[in-house]
Amino acid sequence: MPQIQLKKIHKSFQDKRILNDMNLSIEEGEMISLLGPSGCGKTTTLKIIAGLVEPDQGDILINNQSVLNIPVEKRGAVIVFQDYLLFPHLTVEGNIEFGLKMAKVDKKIRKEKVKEMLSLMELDGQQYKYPNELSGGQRQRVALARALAVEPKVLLLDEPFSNLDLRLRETMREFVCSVQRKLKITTILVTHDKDEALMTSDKIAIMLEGEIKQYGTPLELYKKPISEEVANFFGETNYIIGKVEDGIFKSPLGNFRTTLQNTVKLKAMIRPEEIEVVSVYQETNTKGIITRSRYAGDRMYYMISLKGMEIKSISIAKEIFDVGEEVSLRIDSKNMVFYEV
Amino acid sequence: MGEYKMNKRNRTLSGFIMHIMIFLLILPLLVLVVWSFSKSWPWPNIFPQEFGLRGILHVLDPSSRALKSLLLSIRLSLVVTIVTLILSIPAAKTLGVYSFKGKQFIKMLVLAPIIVPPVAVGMGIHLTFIRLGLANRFIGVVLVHLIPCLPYGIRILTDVFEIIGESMEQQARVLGANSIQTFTNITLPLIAPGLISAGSLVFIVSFSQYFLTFLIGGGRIITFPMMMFPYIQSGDRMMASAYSMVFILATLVVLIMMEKAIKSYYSTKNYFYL
Amino acid sequence: MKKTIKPYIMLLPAMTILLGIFVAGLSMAFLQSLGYFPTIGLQEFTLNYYKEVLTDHGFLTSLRFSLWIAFVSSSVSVVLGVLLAYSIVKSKHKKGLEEIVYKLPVIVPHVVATLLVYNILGQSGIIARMAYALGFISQQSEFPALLFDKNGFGIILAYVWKGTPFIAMVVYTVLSNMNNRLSEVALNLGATNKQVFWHVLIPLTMPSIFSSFIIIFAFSFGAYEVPFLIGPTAPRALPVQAYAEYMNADLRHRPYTMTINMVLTFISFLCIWIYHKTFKLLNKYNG
Repeated sequence: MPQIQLKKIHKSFQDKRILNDMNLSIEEGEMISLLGPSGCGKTTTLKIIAGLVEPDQGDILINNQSVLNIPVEKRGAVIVFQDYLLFPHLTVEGNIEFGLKMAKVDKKIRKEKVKEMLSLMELDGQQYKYPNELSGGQRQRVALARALAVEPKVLLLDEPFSNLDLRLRETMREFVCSVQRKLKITTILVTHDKDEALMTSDKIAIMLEGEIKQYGTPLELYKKPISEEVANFFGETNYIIGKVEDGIFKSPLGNFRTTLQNTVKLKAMIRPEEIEVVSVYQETNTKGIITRSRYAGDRMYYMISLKGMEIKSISIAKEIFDVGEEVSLRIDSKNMVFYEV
Repeated sequence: MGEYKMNKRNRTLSGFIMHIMIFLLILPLLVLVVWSFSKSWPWPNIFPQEFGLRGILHVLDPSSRALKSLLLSIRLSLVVTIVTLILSIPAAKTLGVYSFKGKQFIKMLVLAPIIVPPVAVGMGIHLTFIRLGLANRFIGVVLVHLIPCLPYGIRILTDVFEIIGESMEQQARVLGANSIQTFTNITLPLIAPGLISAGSLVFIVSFSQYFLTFLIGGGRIITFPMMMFPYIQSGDRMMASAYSMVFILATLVVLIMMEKAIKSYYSTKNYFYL
Repeated sequence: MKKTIKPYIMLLPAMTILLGIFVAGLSMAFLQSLGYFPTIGLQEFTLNYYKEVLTDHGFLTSLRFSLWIAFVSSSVSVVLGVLLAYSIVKSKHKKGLEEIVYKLPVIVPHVVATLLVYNILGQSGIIARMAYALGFISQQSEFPALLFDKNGFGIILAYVWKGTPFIAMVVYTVLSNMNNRLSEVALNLGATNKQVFWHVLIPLTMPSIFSSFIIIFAFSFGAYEVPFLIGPTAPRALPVQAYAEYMNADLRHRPYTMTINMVLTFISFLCIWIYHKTFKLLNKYNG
């Protein structure tokens, strides 16, 4: 049974619809991502789960019980905000023990917990420093320690890595994932970075304009996006219009065997990395002219002109072709995703 | 090279202008100090003939009415400051953090008492205060002092709340603090620097108030500026200067003590400007 | 529902005071100026008091006098204050000085500012004594009576002494918080220091300069103490005139007083309105 369930959540702010009929369920110990562009309602969703914002309609269940009437401070859903929001007037120790102190937990237990958190977060020796004396990565770990110290039922991470520089971001991402796996705490990560979502999460929920468009494992989302919207959001795409006749998809890119029913008009989506550019002497059923090429070390980005269409390809930089050269394209129809027009 | 020289010359010129202006601003205060310590300074001497403490001693004499009115003034203005801050905190939080219908109008209304002459407000409300039995009493003067003070208190704290926002408080809430715990553990320490500046300014505004005290106090509530007024009016430079000196020093002392008190309570640093 | 009324509940305490004293006081004054004063049996609304007051020569002279004082003192304060702020920024490293310049005049009340002017510029003030010592005058009365003169010279000076540091403080804060690199960019593009001042710094500080101008203008227009202490008997500043009328034992005289008060209030509301309008305009490019 799912540990957390959002049921038909609606929320508007001053006539502007933020969340529309949102449903989501999360299993215990899972780490999921809410992925979407800014302004799609991700952070609002977190605040609704935490109890900082009340939904207009719908219900939130934790362990199968509605928590709508449980106030923020008792709900056990702790947010780690993007800008950490460490209390500047409290030391690292004061920050970490804050939640326990508010719950009037005995001092001895508090100190123990702080010690445990400091070592878990590799912050030993930092407990008497003030937040402004810490580096970005340390601040992030204190924020995380402070949230985990209250042993929440669910940990909510709001764009936790976006304030860090690129290198630190990767380190922290690994670190957070390892802590999550160690503690097996149910975690919802909000991000606009698809790579981050892909690398950290058991499941990803794609959020666009206040709705969850698709919810599934990273592989499902990447390989089988259920709509063009999701496909576009998840990276570069090529669309080809064609038709199906007697088990064959006929398109400007060539003919491909398929199990689909006969259709007059159908759109196929194929990722650039599924289109391989090879020498013109290799026999494939598609040929085109390179119009642009960009060298990116291990990969080549090509733009190929073909029967009036522009096709994008990302190929391994084994053999390099120049602009104007005629090339063959190798395409595997298994990797095509079809949408109705 | 030429550019550099230009800049340097400009800098010297600015320094010169600055010093002249600061000198002109401070000179009158120096004359005031000299007057307050003079015993005899007849026309046309440029310096006093004799120095003495008669003026200052008169003001600080424990049996004098002057000292009594000074203490009354301090007490009055402290009460006004505290009440203003208590009223201002929730209002400033609302104006700084929330959005709601009529916010712009309320912001204007809050600012209005700085602009609208106290003369008009005071005379307009005087009769009502008399009817309600508030005139000629301490409480009435406190109430009427709130009018020029509230705009400053609310304005400064609104700026503070705009900077700190609501996020720290929300963070405390999700960590399990209830609303009262959040207020005392997070909000108050965070706005402590703002409380110091708002409190100082409000104290000054109340402490310097003459007309409203005079009108609503009806000669019964004699504050320090009221004691000082007749000496200035009659041109008794020595006494007036002595009063002014004591006034300025008392203000400084109270402000320093107020700052110390808030700082020691919240061991505050200026967090959000770091 | 609970969320929507929360802001209003938190505003309630402060609003009670503002509405109960400030707005109520002004409303009462307004009603009385319209001739509605039941306490003495006046119950009929009329504009006669306005007609009388607004055509009264004495009133008009007072109004002109008050506007003159306010306008001149505020303008001079702005010019000097901007100059002071700019010169402090330019000459740098004067932390201690700045503090004194800002704080002292804030602490010194207007009543004391009046005394300062009196000590310096009075007929037996320090300047008169120096003039005597240098042989420019042979007795006190030869020194020009700057304090109680009908141009309000002394009053203006007292306000300038208070206003200049206030403007300087506001402008200095804006200037020092302003991105220093904007000036550097302008210099780099070939602007002279003077051009940087007029085309970059002044436009960027304009909103704060203007709003502080309005504040000191309104204050010096409506304040009682300074013109009462060192102003001439004729013309009287409007607030002084209003209080003199208020002290008239005949209560039937009250509506005239309140009409003067309403004119004071009306002009200050005009200030708020201009402030608001201009602020919007100026804020356009300051984003």
